[in-house]
Amino acid sequence: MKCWNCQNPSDEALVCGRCGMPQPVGSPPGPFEALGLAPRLRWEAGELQGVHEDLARRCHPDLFRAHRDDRVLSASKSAMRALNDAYRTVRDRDSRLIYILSALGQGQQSMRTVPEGLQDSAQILDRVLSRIEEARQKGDRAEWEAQQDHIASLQIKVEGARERSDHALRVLAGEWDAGLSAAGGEWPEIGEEWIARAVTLAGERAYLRTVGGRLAEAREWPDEDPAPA
Amino acid sequence: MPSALAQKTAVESFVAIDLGTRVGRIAAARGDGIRRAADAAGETDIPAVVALSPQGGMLAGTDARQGQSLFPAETVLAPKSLLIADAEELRRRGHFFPHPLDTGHPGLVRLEIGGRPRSGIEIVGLYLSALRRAAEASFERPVASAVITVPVDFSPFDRQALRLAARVGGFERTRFVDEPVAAALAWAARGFRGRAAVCCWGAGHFGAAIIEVQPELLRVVASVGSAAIGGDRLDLALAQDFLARAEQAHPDAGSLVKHRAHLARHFLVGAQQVKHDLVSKGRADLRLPVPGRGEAFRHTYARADLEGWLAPQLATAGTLCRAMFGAAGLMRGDVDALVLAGGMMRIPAVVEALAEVVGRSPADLDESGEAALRGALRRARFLDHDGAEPLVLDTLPQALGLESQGGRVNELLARTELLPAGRTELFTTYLEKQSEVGIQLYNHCGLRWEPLARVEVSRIPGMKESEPQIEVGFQLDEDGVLEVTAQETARNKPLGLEVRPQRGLTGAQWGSAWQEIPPPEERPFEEALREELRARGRLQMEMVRALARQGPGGLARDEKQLVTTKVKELEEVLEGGDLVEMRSCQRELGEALYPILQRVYDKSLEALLRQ
Repeated sequence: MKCWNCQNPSDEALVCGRCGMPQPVGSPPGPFEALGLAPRLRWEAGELQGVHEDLARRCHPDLFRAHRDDRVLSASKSAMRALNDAYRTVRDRDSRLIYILSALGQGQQSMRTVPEGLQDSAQILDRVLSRIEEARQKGDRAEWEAQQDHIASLQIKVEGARERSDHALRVLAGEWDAGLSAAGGEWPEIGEEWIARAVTLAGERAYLRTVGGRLAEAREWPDEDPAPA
Repeated sequence: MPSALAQKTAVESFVAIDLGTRVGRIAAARGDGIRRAADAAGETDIPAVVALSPQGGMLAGTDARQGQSLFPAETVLAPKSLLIADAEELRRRGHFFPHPLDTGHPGLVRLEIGGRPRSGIEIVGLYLSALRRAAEASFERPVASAVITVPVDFSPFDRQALRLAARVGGFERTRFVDEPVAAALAWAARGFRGRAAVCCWGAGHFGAAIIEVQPELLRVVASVGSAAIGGDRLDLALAQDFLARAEQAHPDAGSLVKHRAHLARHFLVGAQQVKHDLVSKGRADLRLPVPGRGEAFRHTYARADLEGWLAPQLATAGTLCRAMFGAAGLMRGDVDALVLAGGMMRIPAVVEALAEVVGRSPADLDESGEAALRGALRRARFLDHDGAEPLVLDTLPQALGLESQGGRVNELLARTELLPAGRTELFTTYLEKQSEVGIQLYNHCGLRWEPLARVEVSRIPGMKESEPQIEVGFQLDEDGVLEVTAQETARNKPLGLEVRPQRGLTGAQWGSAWQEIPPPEERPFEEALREELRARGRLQMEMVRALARQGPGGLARDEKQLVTTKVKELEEVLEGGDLVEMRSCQRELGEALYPILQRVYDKSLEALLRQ
C-alpha cells in the first residue's frame, strides 16, 4: 500500500507509519489486517480495546477537524469508520469465531442450534415465553408472576449450557491459535472436523444468546409510563 | 469597537454552549480558565425564553423573560423542547401552552408566533443566535463555531434538526457533546481516573452513561436517556392538579386562566416554588384569587404529593440505569464513582434513588450547574487542538433496529457501537416487477424500541421477485446524525430514497424549511449588531407602552417620568446608530425598566403563593 500523502509504502492499513496521515479505506481490509493483528481467537481482556484506542488516537476525525486540506479529514473519517467496524467484528469471542468461519467460506452463522442438554427444555421454554408474552399483552400481572419460577429454573439450565459451551469454545480457540502459530502467523490449514465443530458451536451460542436475552426480558414487567403531561 | 469585529477570521476557535431546557450558557476559553458570556441584561445563566413580536422584533434571554407576563402569547419558554415535541403532547398542556399550533406539516410542529408559523428549529435557531450575539458582544470577536450539549435521547433526526437550528443561529461549524459526556469531562478535569456512572437529570431530559476515564482519553461504554421524565413534567403535573382542584371549587377558574394567559405562566413558576418548599419544608400552599368573590382558592400540598408524582419518574430512571449496566456488560456497583448533574439532583430522594440503583454514593454533585458547560468547553479546546484535553471515543446514544417480517425488531447497531458507525443491509422484493420497498427503522434509548423513521426505496428496476439486491447503508457520523443511502448491487446504481422520520423533517421538507426561514443577510458584523440593537430598543419601548396601558399598579408617577426620559433618549440614539451609545442607552433603560417589570411580575406571583 502506498500512502496518499507521502507516497511511501505503508505497512499499516489505516494510518501511514511514516508520515502519520490517516489513510482512506476504499474496499475495507479484513478486521485483523485493519488492526494490524494476527487472526487469533484468544485475546486477553482489554488487549483488543488497547489496540483500538492506540489507533483511534492516531486517526480520529476530531484530531483533523481544522486541517486545511479537506482530504485529510475525509481520510480520517474513512479510517475511523473502518477501525470501528473492524473492532466491532472481533471485539468479543463470538464475533471473532463468526468472522473466522465466514472467512473460511462458512457464510453467515445465523442458524441457531439447540445445544445438547437443553433439547428436553426447548419446548417448555417456548411455551413459557409465549405465556409471558401473552400475559404482558393482556396486562395480566398475576399470570406473569406465576411463570417466574419456570423462568428462574430455565435460566439456571441455560446458564449451565452456556458454561459447557464456553469450555468448548476455549478448546476450539486453543486449537485454532496453535495452528496459527505453527503456520508462522499465516492462516492455518484447518481440518473439516474443526470447522464442523465450530459451526455447531457458533449455532448453539447464537441460540443461547437469543434465549438468554428473552429470559432476562421475561423477568421484567414493562414499566408504566411516567405521569402523562 | 475593536477592529477584530470588523473582519471574520477564516477559522475562529470553538465556543461551548450548554443548551439547557430552561437556561442556556455560553463560554469561551480564557487561558486555562473559562470566560462566560452575559446577555444584554448582564445574566450569564441566559433564560431559554424567546419573545417574537408580530412587528418583527425578537427578544431572548432575560429581556424576554422579563416581558413574559406582558406578552405571554408571544413568549416561548423552553424552545429546546419544541425540537422533540409532538402536537398532541403540546395540546395536552392546555392553558400552559398558550400558542396556536399550525399542523400543516405532518411530523413537524409549528407555532403561530411573531406574525407567522414557525418551527421549533427556527425558534431554537433564534435563541442560539441570541446566545451567539451575547458571546460576540462579551468576547468582542465574531463567533461561528460551537460545541453544543445534547440530551442522550435526541434521535439522529433531532440532532440533525439541532444542527440546522445552529445554522439558522449563525453557527457555521457545530459539534455536539452528549450531556453525560460533558459532565464526565468536567469531572475528569479534577484528576479522576477510572470508570464512572454519570447521570444528568434536568427540566427536560434524563441521560446517563458509563464512561471510562484514562489519561488523555474518555471512552463511553454505554448510554441511556429519556425525555419522558424531568422537572418540567413535575411542575406541569403540579400546576395541572392545582387547576383541576380550582375548577372543581370554582367553575370559572378554567376560563379565568384561559383568558389571562400570564396566570398559567405564574402557575408553572409557582409549581417550581412549591416543589422547592416541599423539599425543604415539607408543606407548601398555592392559591388563586377569584375576582369578584373577594376570596382565593387555596390548596396545601404535602411532601407525599411530590413523592407520588416522583415515584414513576424514579422507576423509569432506575430501569434506564439497569439497562445501561446491562448494555455495558457490568453489574450494579461495577463503577468507581457516581457523578450527578442537573436541577433534579436538588431533590434528595432523587440522589438517594440513583445512588441505590448504581450502587455507589455520589462522588460529585454539580452545585454550580456549570459542569456540562465546562465539559463542553474541554471538547471545544480539544477541537481547537489543545493537546492537554482528552480525545473522546463516543458510542451510539441509541440502538438502531429494523422491523423484521414477523414484526419483531432486529438490532442493526447496538448502543455500545463506537461512532462513527455504519451498517449495510441487503433487501429484496417479494413481487415480480416490484418497484418500491419500505423499511421501518426503530431506535432504543434504554426503555423500549420506538418507531424512528420509514425508509422508502423506489425506482427499483423491474425484475423477478427476490432478484434485486438492494443495498441500504445506514451511516452515523461522529455527532450521531444518520445518513441513509440505497443502491441496486448488480447495476451499482443509486435508487430513489425517501426517509420519513416519525418526528421532524423529511428529506423533501429540508429544502422547503430552508426557504421558509429568511436567510441571514450578508451584512458587515457592525451593521448586523446595530440592527439587532435597534430591534431590541423598539421592543423595550413596546414593553413600556404595555406597562403604561396597565393603569394603576403599573407605573408610579416618578417611574413613568424616568422611563419616559430614557425612552426619548433611546429614540434619538437609535436614529443616530452609534453602537456604543445605543448599548449604553439600552442598558440605562433596562436598569430603570426591569425592576418595575420584576415588581409587576412578583406581585401577581405573590398572589398565588402564601408566604
